[in-house]
Amino acid sequence: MIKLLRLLATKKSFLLFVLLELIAFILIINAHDYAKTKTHSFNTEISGFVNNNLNGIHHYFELDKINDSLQTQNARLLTELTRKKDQNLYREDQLEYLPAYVISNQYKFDNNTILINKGDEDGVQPEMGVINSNGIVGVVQQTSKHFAKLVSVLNRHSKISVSLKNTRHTGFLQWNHTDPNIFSVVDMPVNAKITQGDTIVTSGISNIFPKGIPVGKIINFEKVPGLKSYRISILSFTDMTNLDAVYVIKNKLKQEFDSISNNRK
Amino acid sequence: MKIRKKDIAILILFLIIQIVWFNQILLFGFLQPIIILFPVLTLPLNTKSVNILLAFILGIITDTFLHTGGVFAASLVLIVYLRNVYFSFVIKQYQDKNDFNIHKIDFSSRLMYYAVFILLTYFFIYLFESFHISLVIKKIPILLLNTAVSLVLFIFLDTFLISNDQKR
Repeated sequence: MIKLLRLLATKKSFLLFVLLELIAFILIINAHDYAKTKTHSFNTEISGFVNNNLNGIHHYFELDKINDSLQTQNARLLTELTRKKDQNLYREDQLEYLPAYVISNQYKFDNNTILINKGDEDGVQPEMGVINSNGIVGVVQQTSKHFAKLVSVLNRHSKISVSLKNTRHTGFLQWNHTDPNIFSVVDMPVNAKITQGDTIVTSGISNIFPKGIPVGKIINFEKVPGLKSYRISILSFTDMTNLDAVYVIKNKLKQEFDSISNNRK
Repeated sequence: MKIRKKDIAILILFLIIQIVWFNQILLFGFLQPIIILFPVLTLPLNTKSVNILLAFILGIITDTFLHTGGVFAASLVLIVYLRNVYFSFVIKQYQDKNDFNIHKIDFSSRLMYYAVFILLTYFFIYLFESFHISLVIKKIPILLLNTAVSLVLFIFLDTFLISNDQKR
């Protein structure tokens, strides 16, 4: 017996090795049989907690990639939504939304412009409308291979056709040059029923912006003396001082529409 | 030679790096360096039982975070046991285990030692994970690539940790 104990004492590392290997193999076998594993849920809880936090950190560093992917997905969904919603107004595949990012945004001048990171190569062309998730942003003025310059809605040359959300009465959106979030709607006929808080949307007449894109909320309105129209002040839905992800609206039938429209004149 | 507090600190540091960083990445979709093996391979030789226990603890913690049961624990314990055999038969001049120090091995022998044990570790991990030798054979190219990447990493760590330690 003593001999045996002495032998075991001399081989203690080997015995420990065998014992730990045995435990490890039991764990391996149990890991393949989840129903039998009592430690499984405990291990999952611990590793889940740590991995969840690690994923949080990982996601933080991956935010740019995630944003890009969401932006692309949004553009696809917007295209799909317009197709479904306005089936009678627009043909299938007539409108396409191209995701882009604002790389330079002016809002302190009278003729403000915006630069975006998509150009000719991406299918961006002059006279395409640009929106963001809140509303309208501007219209493409000129393009290079990889970039495009927009006439911001905060530009005195910008004149966008808008209408009341609930009626077809239209007017033109202009910037009042003071506050980047306050705009005017001019030439709105006096027979339009207007109340404070009404929503102004794009009219879709020019084919630059599709019909129904939110523009702003009426905060004030008055009749213009001598003219049969209203001057309406609206608060823009888009914060023009804080632009990042935008969508360029590609209307594939715009050229055809413009050509028939010009012939009519 | 005993296990120093510094060795334990390095073990914990490498374990954290393995869990926080290397377990989260899969280079080119299939490469996952096992950095935790480095401090295990540089443990003193004469503390056999302690080494085996440490290897088991490190392995089981890694397994917990990778949901691999006891694959890493079984592999690391086996590796720690086999390294004693390796030094007994391959590098016979270091048979005096009380005097053994990884610093005293010349660089080429050290490189060979790392390469053999990294390869063995990956082999055991793949084998214990699937228990199918045919599946391990299918994975030989990945096994070799993983060994190569880990070896480069180990050379880097060896240069910074072992060589600096040796200078002192």
